[in-house]
Amino acid sequence: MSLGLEKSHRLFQGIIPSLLSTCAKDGTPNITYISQVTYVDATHVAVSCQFFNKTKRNLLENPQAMVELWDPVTFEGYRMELRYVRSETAGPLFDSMAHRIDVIASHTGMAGVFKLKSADVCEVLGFEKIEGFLYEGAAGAGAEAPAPESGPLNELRALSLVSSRLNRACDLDGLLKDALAALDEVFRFRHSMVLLLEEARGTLVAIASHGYGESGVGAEVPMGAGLIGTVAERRVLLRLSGIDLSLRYGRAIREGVEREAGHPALRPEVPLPGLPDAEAQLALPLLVEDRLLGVLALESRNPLAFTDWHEDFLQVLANQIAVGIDRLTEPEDEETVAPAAAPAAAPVRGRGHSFVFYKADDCVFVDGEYLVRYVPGRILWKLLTEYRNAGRREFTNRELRLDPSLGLPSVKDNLESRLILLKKRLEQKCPDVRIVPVRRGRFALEVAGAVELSERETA
Amino acid sequence: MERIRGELPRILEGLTAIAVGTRDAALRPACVQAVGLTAEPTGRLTVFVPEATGERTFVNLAANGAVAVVAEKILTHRTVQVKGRCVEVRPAREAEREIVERCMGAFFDDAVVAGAPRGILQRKNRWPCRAVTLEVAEVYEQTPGPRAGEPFVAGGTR
Repeated sequence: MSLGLEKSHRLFQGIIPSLLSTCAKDGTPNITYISQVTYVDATHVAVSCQFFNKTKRNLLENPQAMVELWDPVTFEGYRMELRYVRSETAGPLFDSMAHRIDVIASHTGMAGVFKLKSADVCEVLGFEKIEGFLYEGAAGAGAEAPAPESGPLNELRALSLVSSRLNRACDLDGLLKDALAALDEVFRFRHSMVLLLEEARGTLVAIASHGYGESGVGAEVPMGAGLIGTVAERRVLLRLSGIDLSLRYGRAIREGVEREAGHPALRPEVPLPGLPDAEAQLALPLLVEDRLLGVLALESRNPLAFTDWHEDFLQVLANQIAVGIDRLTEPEDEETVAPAAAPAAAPVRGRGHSFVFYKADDCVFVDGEYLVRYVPGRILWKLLTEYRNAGRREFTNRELRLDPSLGLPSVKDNLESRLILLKKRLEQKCPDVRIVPVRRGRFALEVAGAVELSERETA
Repeated sequence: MERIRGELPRILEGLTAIAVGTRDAALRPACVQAVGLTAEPTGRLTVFVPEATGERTFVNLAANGAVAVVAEKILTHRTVQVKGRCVEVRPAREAEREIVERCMGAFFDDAVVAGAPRGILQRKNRWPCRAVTLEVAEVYEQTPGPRAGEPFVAGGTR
């Protein structure tokens, strides 16, 4: 007979920590709050073991346990009678639980200090709602979350909608913009971003964002740092809910480590990118074959915004987005000769701007304010210099690829994503200078007003 | 140990997520959320367990008296566990209701910050209760971290 566990996934995303009660062989009870109870299958759960403690010793000598969980929506209580079966220290279950703990450890500056020792798998012998947990008549009144509109038809419609948008995209900027907008329309995921990998620097750079206003684009996340960096490094999907509580858990451990004499030097906390008050995050690797292109990251203020269903479904979409990115960043066939000075749209009169290029770190400032750096900075400087010296207004991607001064890698140069970043930074900081696509592999530099260029060694 | 027992009121101050662990004759563990506690410098601790959810706990305590109590502040995860023998289980008195309401009010405040809706939390069954008094024999640090599980040190900073 089914215990009904498979229909109770949200219990494992609790806002209130769960209780675990065990008993030593001599009859002494032990009770503790635990950070993770993970659904394994219809008759098994796993509890996380970060420290070899009394609970673990008890389970080894008396495998009986009881867990109490709070439903994060109705706040009803549930109890599970458990029998400890085994500890896993490798494999998919261990990895999945370890990744979540690693993300919290990374955010709280304790990567490598606090980590999963084992996933302790327990058979569920009994599972019941606790009668009388809430006052009579109060249970669930007005508390049920609206049922998500899911089902094969809705899933297929959503997939069809997003898929056709992705297929229609003719440039990378359009692809990412449409993909993130479709996620909002179809799933109401209001806050999302795509970060692409810059392999040479081991960094992910936000190249498109939705729901953050102007902020977000250009933000960088080192490989292995926080949720997004961990997803990129491990190439696995990760979901965090109850982020606030998880971070508090990590900080509690950090304080304990810091109090210890001779504790290892801890890294500073990694600020979460995006919403300052996000309660749930989901990040998916963008993979084509065995190549990591980047990460699709979504977040919400609702701790239960992402469900198991979303994980599976969004992975399909992430794969489509990855294929689209790969298609649109392949070097295209185009004429090999750079065009002469070609008139683009008539320039609009704007105020003049002063650009400074700092050679030491390939950094460009406009009117005294930081604009862009690294490869996008070098590209901008090349465009502006040729515009000033020769009046050029149209450029091809191919000529940029062939220019050794830009330092683009010979394969997988991410040129399109660097141009998007440059375009968006200009839109934000200096809208009088614009990069406008002409056709695939060709773009125009539109400049309104005079530009003054100067180069310096260092700031 | 005597000194630690005397420090119980200070050690447990502000810890409002409370639960009681017991076991039966077959060493099967049981747990239940408690809704309030009061600690005496004599080393006695009284926890309040709702009648509606505490049946198995009351049966176990009547049978063998072995008990553990965990208390945590969920916003900081500061956690303490005490173990001992149950010396009395009795209906909570009306005058003790204030202890329960104060403790649950503070717990609700923390839970709301953690993301729980106050309106639903308020429906948590917390009265009538039984008062479970135990003679504390052991006190453990249980805040997550390297010292979790170690006996509490008398005169500590917490």
